[in-house]
Amino acid sequence: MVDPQQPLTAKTLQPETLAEISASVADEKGSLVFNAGAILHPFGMPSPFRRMWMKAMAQQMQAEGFPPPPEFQDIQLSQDDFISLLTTTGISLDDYTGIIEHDVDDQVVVVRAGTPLLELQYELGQVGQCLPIPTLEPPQAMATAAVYSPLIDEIGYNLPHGLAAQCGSWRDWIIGMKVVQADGTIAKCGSKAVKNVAGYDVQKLMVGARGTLALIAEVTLKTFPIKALPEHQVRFMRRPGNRPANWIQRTQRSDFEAAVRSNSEVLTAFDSASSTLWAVVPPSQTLQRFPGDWVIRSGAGPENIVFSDPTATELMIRAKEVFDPTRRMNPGELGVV
Amino acid sequence: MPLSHAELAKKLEQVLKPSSVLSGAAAERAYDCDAYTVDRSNPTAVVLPETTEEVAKVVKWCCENNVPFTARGAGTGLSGGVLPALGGVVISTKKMVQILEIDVKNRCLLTQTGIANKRLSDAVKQYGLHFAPDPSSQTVSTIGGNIGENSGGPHTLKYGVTAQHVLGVTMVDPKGEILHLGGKVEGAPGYDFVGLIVGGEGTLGVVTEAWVKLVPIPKEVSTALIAYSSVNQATQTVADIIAAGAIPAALEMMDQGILRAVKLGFGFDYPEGTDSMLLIECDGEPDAVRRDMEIVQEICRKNGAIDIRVAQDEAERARLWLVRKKGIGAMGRMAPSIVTHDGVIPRSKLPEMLEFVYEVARRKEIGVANIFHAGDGNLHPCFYFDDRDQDQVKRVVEAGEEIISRCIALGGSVTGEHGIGVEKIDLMSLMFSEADLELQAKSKRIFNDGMLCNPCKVLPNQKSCVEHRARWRGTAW
Ligand SMILES: Cc1cc2nc3c(=O)[nH]c(=O)nc-3n(C[C@H](O)[C@H](O)[C@H](O)COP(=O)(O)OP(=O)(O)OC[C@H]3O[C@@H](n4cnc5c(N)ncnc54)[C@H](O)[C@@H]3O)c2cc1C
Repeated sequence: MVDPQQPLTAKTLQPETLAEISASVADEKGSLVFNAGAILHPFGMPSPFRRMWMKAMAQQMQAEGFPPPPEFQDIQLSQDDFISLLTTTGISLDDYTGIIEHDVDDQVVVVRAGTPLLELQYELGQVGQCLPIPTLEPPQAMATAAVYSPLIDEIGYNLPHGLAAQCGSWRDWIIGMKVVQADGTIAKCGSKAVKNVAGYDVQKLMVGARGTLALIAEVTLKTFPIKALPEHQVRFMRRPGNRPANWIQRTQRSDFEAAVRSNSEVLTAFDSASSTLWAVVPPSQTLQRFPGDWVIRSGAGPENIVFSDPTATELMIRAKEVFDPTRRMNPGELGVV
Repeated sequence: MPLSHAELAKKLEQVLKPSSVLSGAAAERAYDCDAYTVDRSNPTAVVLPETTEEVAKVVKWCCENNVPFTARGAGTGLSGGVLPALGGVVISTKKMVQILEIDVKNRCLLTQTGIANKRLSDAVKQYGLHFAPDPSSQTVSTIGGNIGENSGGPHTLKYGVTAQHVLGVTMVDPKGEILHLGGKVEGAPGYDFVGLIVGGEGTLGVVTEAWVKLVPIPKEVSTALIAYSSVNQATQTVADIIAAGAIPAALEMMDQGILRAVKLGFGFDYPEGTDSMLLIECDGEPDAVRRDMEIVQEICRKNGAIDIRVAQDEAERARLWLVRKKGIGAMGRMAPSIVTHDGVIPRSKLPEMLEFVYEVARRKEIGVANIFHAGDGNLHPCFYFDDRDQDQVKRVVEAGEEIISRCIALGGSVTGEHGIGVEKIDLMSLMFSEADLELQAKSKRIFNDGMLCNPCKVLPNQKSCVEHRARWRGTAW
């Protein structure tokens, strides 16, 4: 039985090689939660593993004299949670980091997915290259919910960033990928060529999938010359205090002005170029919605991500069935799958 | 008992109106291949639906009657994607040419997919917008075909391929259900199905409508044609420009073979001693364009350019583009047959690859000329030969295999824009392991786990499909 006073007892593995990742996935029998070491992505969904982790974090913060944020307080683990945790293994890519290959002239880098984004940015910066995600100072990073996590999470959660309109996002930069599938099989897609139409673009399906289809182990990325990087146009608001943004909304360009105006009290930042706004919104409240817009939240439980279109939902379930028939890869992390 | 062609057409006439069904020898001939004419296969009948609902009716009928179906746009594809490999119904989007909504404020439009690419830009020019993907076939090739092949064009380097410009689609899936996927607001949470469908070569369903992005027409465009006395100087220039971070809108290269052909065919003149040329275009805000062009010219000079011509007006710009746009066509005069390939390599490998292409041509004793999207590392080596001579044909086939294999060995791809279709299906296993192919097969199965929707394309070893193993690679004129 898992001891609630001893959280983080669900087994967590830290494989160091691709073969070890594959073996970990193949050998473990129950559910798998891919996390970046001790940190779970703040925009993830509620799950036994997350509740366990949040409880542990709250205890740790309390012990160190910091008040935990409200959503971390009073977390109760149910009997079902304990049972589920007994058959859940965390797989952390914290020890699977670093650049495998960087063709500086080609502006292409192959990198292990446990590598923290900022570490990759630092390495690329040594030769005047980067990924076009602005690196912001902590208050501004918090205002735009920038997590700067390892690539596995950055790609898996695919949150908007300040240069999305000008320079695209992960789906545009990833030209190849190696994944470990639900049965442990390693497979690759794409290539190191910046232009390629050989076969299906499976890597696009993995971006934003939050690890629910396969574990992203390595990625091949296009890099950008720093000197060609445009300025981002994100505007930061001083309000509302020092909480990180927990509401991200993107609207049509035609609705954006109204969205900014009507939510100005709670906005932390907004980007007119991509019609994205960031805000701090209490879990029980919502901001005004607009036709065709979308929202992702943090700390709002099942409301973190809501799929209302039945066709897309049905297809997502179908994709999950095809890639992960026993539903063991990050179960529930994308709501319906 | 399978239905005869005439019987099948009669049945389809009950599904759609009779004038929307074509059958008989002429129709079968007209719809048996695309611009990759090496492989052909007759359809049983051709339908010309006008709406999504009509497409859905046809697909449902095909499913109920176990008849294969294949979506077809303008048929300019270069890998046999529209060839009805197992016969059945060709669903032509010829009558699906309406622009359904133009949303200027949100810079996007909703269109039926049978419309020619160029017509989108024509329709929104008055608003200062355009549809950025510009395959050279854009006056005829359709949005549906561009989506099917994830087409690129000379301006892909800066603006990206079709995948970057499709926001959402309406698709009739292989069971005949109508799906609306994606929407006007990019980056929505959930699986990126639209990203998978673009480039799906019509094997995931029939895309009937699409929301596409519109991009402001650049305020200023500056085009330069630069001559070099050696190919290496030109390829080094490409590498230096990319490294300098000045991303031109287009960065195209032509070697001496192409230049000679364009001179012969169109009287295009170039300086004495020219061995290769780069066509470089910068666009955007006037100040930025001026600055980028200065950087570009400086790099060109540093690499030994012997002539730099910068277009002073639109007419001159069109003249400079002539050498790129007419390059392949002009090759037709060099020999009875030409075959163009479509390989990709990491762009720093251009000098090495080009040297290899020449070496193969020398060894196989066949003529070769090169034209390519140098900025993307996407080459189109073009062999010219006499197809009446079986030995030459054999050597052309072998040369193609060697070149494509080298692209893979250098970390590149067997195709940069023409797709796999039937042409390169047997090369997929050179690039991908069995596990890799199974990963792709899974993504296909989300939509299509049968053999009716455009069978025998993209993935090798499909049931009942004939795969040709020794044919010309690329397109023959
Ligand atoms: C002279 C010439 C120049 C070319 N230049 C370029 C170039 O610069 N860049 C480039 O990328 N390509 C180029 N091509 C190749 C070709 O034009 C492109 O692949 C184009 O996008 C095909 O469009 P199409 O309408 O002719 O499609 P088709 O050839 O009719 O079909 C192509 C594929 O898309 C599928 N398809 C068609 N319509 C639909 C639909 N509605 N729904 C789902 N699937 C569909 C088909 O099944 C098929 O697999 C060129 C071809 C020629 C002949």
